[in-house]
Amino acid sequence: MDSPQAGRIQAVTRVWTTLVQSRRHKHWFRNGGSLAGFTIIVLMLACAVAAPWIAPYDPTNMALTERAQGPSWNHPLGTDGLGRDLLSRMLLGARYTLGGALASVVLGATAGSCVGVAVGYLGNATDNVVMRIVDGMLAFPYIVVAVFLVALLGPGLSSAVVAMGIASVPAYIRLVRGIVLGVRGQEYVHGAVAAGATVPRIIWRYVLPNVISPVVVYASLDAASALIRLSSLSFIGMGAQPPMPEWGAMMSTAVEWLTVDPYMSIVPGVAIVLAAVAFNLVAEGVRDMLDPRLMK
Amino acid sequence: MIALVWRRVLSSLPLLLGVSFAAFLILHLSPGDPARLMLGENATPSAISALHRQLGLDQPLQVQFGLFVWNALHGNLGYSFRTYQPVAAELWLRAVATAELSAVAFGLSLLAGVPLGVLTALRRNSWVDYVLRVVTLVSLSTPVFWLGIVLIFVFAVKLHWVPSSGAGTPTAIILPGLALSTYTFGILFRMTRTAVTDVLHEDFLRTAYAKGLRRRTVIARHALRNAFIPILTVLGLQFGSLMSGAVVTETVFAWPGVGLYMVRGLFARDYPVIRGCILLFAVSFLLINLLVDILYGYLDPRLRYG
Repeated sequence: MDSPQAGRIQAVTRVWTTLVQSRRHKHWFRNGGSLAGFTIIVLMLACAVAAPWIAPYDPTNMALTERAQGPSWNHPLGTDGLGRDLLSRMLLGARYTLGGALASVVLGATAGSCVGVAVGYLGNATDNVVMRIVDGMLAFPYIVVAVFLVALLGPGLSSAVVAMGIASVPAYIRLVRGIVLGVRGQEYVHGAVAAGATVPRIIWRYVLPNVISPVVVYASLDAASALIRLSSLSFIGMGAQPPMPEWGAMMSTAVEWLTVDPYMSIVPGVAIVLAAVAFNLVAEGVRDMLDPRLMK
Repeated sequence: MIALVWRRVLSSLPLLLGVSFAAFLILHLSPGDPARLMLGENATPSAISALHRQLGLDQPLQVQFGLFVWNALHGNLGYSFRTYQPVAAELWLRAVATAELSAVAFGLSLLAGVPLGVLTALRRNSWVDYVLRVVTLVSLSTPVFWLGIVLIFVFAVKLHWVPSSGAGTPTAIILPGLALSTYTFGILFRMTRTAVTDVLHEDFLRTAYAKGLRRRTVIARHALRNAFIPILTVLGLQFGSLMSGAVVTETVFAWPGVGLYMVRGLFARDYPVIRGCILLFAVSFLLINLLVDILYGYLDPRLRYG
């Protein structure tokens, strides 16, 4: 099956070597959008890490007399329906939302790479079977996987993260398998085999170094949708559960106050869009860098 | 052409079987006894074993799966634990609502995305191009639930133009349709822009100009037809994310479709409902991909023999 994902995968694989040789990453920093996106992500991650120290209030502390307030000097982003400080909750929530999205990407990339290396290097018969399944699963709706897992494990941030990771595995298998098939035919691998290197050593020493960089690039292209998917799952109640201040879960409680205090919904919503835009900007920079046709 | 269709149908059968088995297993892997779930905590052991017999739960697993497939093929997907209504009948009603919603969203994104994509490909780096690229970036970065809430707030709560939820009136479909269309619009716009740009550099377009065809004919007959192949692929692959988006949209707008049915069933631990919904989503996903593959063969004659 020829697909744009496959096309993207081919592009990543093909251009990666030229990229490393020609030091095109300099170009990336000249791309203002990517730099801005990168800065936003770094700032948000810094907030997530430093949340317990820089948050002005305890994010779980309820003050019912101060509930559903707009921004003020005391509460720069206002308060939620239970009088909890929104800024503090947003800061701590960055950990769950960004951390969860990144965890799912890492999970999918790692699992997919392992299977991809295995079927690419070892498989003949298994390769055929696995790739058939992968082709069929390539665009399988992630929400169906999520429903399946939540039915078994119950709703929660970890169920959502695992479900999204699983749903993204097929794309990584396809990417990695292609690279491994190419590397396996290289003379230095034949040389290593002739010199008596064991299979694990060949994979560790010669195959993996070729695999890692393209996987990282592909993962960066995937981060924005992972973020959106995670917050969506939390919003409909399948992911993080209140009172956990995950941004999507915060939205789902804020919606009940929409007519009274729309501000409560605006804050996490804007944060999600901003983070997704930032991830997409970085991804676009990476893609432009990889596609020589777009370079001037 | 017929050979291509058969080949595709046959190659998607194993996957269908796999997904059916996974859906079937939900009931068995999930914690708790389904009979106890249906009858409540105070059910007598004899009532529970009677229900086990009635549901076929006392049979070996492979027999149960065979029975499940046989029943599913005959339009019987079991009964809801909650309402005791047949799942298949309810699914059929809701599938229509989801199809309506998806069709509106798909139509909107197609009508906006493809022409704008062609336009910007022909006028690269103009101000229209620049503005639309920013719009696309934002539309691809906005979760459908957030957009839905903004739309509800502005057009339902503040302006009272349309209802905020449900499917009671003909205008109710506008907001959910719009919310669901934005992501697909962004993807379609980008893909069209890239595909048309790529085709514009092809030799056969130069030939078409050289033999004296008008620009309009060259674009419409030679450029677009070839650009449609990658666009079509994206349409097929986007269907998966459209389904996921539909589930979220239906939850935000309380649109009575399959997605809402599935999410409510999930929280009520109504396993026959969850199973039926997963099966329906998987089957329609496979059917759409089949359709896309067949359309490929139609657009690109090279693929008919392979």
